[in-house]
Amino acid sequence: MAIAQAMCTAFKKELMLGTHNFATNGNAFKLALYAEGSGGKSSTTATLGATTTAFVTTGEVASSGSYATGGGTLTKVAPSTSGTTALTDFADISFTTATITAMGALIYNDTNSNKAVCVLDFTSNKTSTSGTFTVQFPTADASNAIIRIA
Amino acid sequence: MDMLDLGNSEVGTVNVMTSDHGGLSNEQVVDLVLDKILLVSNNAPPAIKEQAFLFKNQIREVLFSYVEFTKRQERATITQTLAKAGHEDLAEIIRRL
Repeated sequence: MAIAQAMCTAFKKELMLGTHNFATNGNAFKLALYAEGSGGKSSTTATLGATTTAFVTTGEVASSGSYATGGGTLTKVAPSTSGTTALTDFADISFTTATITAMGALIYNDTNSNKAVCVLDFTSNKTSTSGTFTVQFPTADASNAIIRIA
Repeated sequence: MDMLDLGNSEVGTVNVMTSDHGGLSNEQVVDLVLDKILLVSNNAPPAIKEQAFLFKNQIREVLFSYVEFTKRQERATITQTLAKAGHEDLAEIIRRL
């Protein structure tokens, strides 16, 4: 699979090195959209997964509407705990008036050398045509939050 | 066992919602809100699940009406702003949405 959902292995190491700061006044994180097959820039196909170490342009969808290449900046929700699980979350992100076909996304640290955080697999192509493309993050709890340490 | 985990289970994945030739519909917005308000676990006992889904449907109707109301109110404000600025034709287009 060209896009496989995963927490990037390099990110796990970088957490231990204190590279990523998810506090609301911490680093800036972005979400970039990617295509498999047609839909990306120059018909390239994205290859993203656990081994991804940083933002890549290969397979990223083209700029359209409010989506600009490089992706949109995520609004962070301060890390918290639930029971013995630590978790962090982002506000949902929308791109408007956009013609986009995407199969997945990469969240990366825009502040620290575009280092990769995690890959999201939409499992099928999602398409907006001159419309809104919204990515809704899961409920921020110990079982579902987008990034959690149990 | 301690582990670092990404929300990649069936209920933990992101939800992508798209629209064509305009913004999300009222129904789509309501679905987004409901997914944030009430998550029904696949492992919940059937009786609890049934109650949860009934409740979800009840608040869906309330949310839908208020989403529609909010959009109408915003359009009313935009219409007035455009009309006051002398853009009667644009105001009329917005009013008819």
